Amino acid sequence: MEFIHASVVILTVLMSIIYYRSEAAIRMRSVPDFFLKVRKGAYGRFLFFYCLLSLTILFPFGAKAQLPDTILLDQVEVRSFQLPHLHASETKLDPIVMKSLANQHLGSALMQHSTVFVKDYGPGGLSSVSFRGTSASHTLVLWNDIPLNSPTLGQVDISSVPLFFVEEVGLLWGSKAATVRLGGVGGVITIDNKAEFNKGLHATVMQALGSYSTVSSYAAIGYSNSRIYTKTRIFRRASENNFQYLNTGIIPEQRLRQRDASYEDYGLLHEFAFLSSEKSMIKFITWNQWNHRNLPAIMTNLQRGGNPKEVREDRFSRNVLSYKYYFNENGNLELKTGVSVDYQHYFLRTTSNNGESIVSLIDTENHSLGWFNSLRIEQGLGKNLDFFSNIFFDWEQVESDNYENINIRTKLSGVGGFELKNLSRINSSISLRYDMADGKAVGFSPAFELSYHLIPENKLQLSVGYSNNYRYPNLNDLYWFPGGNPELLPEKSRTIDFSISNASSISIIELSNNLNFYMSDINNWIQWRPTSYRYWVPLNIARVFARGIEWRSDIRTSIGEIDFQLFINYAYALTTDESPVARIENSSGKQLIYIPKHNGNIFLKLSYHGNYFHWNTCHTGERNTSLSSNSTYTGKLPSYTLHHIGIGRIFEARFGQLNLEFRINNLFGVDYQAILWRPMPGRNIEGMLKISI
Amino acid sequence: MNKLHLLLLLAVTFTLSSCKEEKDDVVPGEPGLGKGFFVVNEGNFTVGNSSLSFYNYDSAKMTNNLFYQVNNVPLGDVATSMSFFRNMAFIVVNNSGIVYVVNGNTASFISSITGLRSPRHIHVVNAERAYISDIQDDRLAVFNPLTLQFIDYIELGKTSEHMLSYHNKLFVGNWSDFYQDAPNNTIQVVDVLTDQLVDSIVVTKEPNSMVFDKDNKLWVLCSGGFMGEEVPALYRINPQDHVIEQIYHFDDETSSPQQLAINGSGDTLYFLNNGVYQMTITATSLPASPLIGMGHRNFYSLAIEPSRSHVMVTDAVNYIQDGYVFRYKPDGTLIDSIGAGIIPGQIRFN
Repeated sequence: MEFIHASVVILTVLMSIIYYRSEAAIRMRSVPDFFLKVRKGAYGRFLFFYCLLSLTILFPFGAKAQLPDTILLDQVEVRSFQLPHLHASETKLDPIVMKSLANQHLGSALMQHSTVFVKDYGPGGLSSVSFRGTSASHTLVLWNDIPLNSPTLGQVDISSVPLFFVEEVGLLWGSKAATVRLGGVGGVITIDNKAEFNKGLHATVMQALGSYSTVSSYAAIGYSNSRIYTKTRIFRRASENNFQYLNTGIIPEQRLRQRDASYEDYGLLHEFAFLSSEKSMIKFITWNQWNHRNLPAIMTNLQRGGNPKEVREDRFSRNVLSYKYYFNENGNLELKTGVSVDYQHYFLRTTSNNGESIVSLIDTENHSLGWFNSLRIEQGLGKNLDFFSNIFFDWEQVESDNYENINIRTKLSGVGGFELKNLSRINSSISLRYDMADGKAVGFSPAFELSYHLIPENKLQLSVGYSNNYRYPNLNDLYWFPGGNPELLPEKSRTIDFSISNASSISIIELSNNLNFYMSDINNWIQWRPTSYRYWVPLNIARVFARGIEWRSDIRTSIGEIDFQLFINYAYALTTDESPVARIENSSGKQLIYIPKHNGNIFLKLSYHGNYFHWNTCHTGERNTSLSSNSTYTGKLPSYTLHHIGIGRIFEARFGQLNLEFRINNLFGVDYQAILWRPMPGRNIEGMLKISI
Repeated sequence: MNKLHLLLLLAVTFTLSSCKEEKDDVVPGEPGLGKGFFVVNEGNFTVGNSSLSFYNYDSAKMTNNLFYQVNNVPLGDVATSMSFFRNMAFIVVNNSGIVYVVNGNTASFISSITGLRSPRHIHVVNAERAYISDIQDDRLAVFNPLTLQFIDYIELGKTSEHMLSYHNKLFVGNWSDFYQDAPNNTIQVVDVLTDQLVDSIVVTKEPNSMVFDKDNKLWVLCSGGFMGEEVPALYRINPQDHVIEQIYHFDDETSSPQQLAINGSGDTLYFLNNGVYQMTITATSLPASPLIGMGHRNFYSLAIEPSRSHVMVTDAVNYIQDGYVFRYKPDGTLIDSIGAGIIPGQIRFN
């Protein structure tokens, strides 16, 4: 295994040297042009010096490595009590929550159980996520460390991530978000799959039926022993999505059925992990999915002629190969390489009255290809001090009907830092990241966090953090035709965090709380602006000031044989543009559109001998639909509160476990709009049967 | 700690329960709007936040969201234009595929024409004929403006935009090439007696607006194409024989003149080109400098108040907030500015 370890490190170094030194070698291999740029330019120097630095730090410890008795592999973490994390700038979705929403998509889970705001166009529609008053393109979403953000739009349709395909969801912000890839100015969502060894043969089948002919089918089969882990998961989710709603956008106001909104998603995820020695693991994950979604008209446009047919199709294949090696009991390295292939198709057609001839047609396609690489090294430097280092190299190519050329974007980042743990009452971390994009320097992103245990007994902890971060423009910003602006600068954020958290037990009640205050100043915020032509051009024009409060509480207890869990999340976000242009336009100080000031949810679960009941309420505050001060539909959307309940039972059987659940969503049948004139379903039901063997 | 947690829970409950919606008081349009002008606020494409504003000269007040206040429904998705016939006003809502027919004195809903693809303008010729142009349909829809009965389609072979009529001729501008392969560089002529396409006048790309002057000459402003493919130009056309009498070329392709308008006496033309330009109909060349500079404003639409020749220009600001109507004297002196809706477009005087 030392051979593999050495090979990986040497290979990385060789890559740098080859690309730096040997033009002939590159040309003989007919590598793409960007490699030539790597060799000639700053990337090459960056890679070379990074490897040199890493090895300088690594080898002294590796040389005296003691082989660990056991392999420290990642496992699924199911804890009965949530302690404050080492970092005040990260949290994870609770496994209880993940299980309770196993047949939903990730957007539903985040909407119902986090402070993240989910902008939801309704079932089968786009769901985008945003942190702390920023936009969806400021939220970096990583799947097993591979970015899911579209290179064209910069955001992620989180509704395309079935929770069934996920083991762990983490949220990072502030200083922690600055230690991963470039782009998480608002925050980072991490989605991970975890290998579980020694489980033998296991399988899960889950079938859910719901209102509006919604059928969701999931199946997983896996096998693992002490060396091998393999698991395959498949799913299909389809719905007519023809819910009833009150259309207040036409005359006369009337109750209608949603139409042209059906969708069908299906996908496959396969994992294979192999413990190649006691100290190393090789893992491969492939995730392939097909999404077909009809796009319904908004309420005001239902009387339009031409029988418009609007469809969006997405297909993607995401693949990650990783190698993790524990070179001593306190140190490891992990090398990952991932390839992502995405295809997006948008289609809009209107026809003549008899439907025989096409009157108008938009038929556009995007093909994107991404290659993502990372090397992470962690090394304990004694009892209280850890060193970590990351290097990322990403290459993305997009061929689009909306661009004049095939466009390529490359990003290279290096992060290094130290974490001080449990030194007296202090935890701290410090890191420095340097980013480059398309061969040009983006800048340094320092990050710092200091936590102090005020009262160690109940883990009352005060934390303060500071971080810089950057977001590089997406390809539509740079190359959209017409209007794309290749001269755009990266957006730069500076964030300050203060938090207070605690975790304590009072009699039979276990409590944890986290209250966080933040302020982010984001410069060079990109806005598309009109020109003297009718097309728009993106410019680094806004300076956005986002500040707010986030609060998470977790209460657990048992009364008799009833287990009781209560999770509370609340966010207050105030986000305004304070640029000189905004002052001229009289929009300074106004809350940016579709960012609610108030956003919160409460989840309660009661369990008794395998029977359980859960209740979830979600509140979304008033949102501006424009920067108008008008309180009617042209200015604001009213707040809404939804309630969802579920009741179920888990049966233990000889073959395994059987779970039956019945849910009522939007219990009180609230008529609401998450997006202006986009109808949302009223009260609806679903039943779920899950068999685990 | 018990107290601390109780306080925290109470605070959350209070915060969640205190977020209540607020509604404006409804100001109905009855008994009459009076003398003034309407502003058709386009709103954002696919968002559905168009609105109608009305400014009353006597009260010197603008009523925004008038259509919603009177009818309790939104105007729709991208309202583009407004026309009057007798006591009726026709409001064309492009991406909703609808023409709302409202009382011109109150803005209250009368009826609607639905099933249109992407209508842009309606032009009422007489009590029997109204024509609706469409940016996605290569046919002109013909309606009876009183009964709102569909009569027929006129095959143009091109999509259509602005329309003006002269005697029994309808002049139709072919503005956009977004939904068609046919060239967008013509003014088509329709005989309104037979509803037949009778001629086609070739001009520069994107004829975006037209007016008649006091001598009944047709003026056509062409912006040269979405990507500035041609040098923009202003045309003077004889509507009787369709002969182009004069062409005024702009400096280069980077100009994008829009919104041709004319004063009440029909002797002075105005248009937008990064500012408001003014020229007499007898001028031999285009004006070199603007009457009104744009400064940091985002001029979007232009109209000339017929009786006093006040220049009225809208400012769409950043397209995501309420815009303004700026009023100027004929010499370009600013009179005032009036708040309107999102992307204030066409201004129509009642």
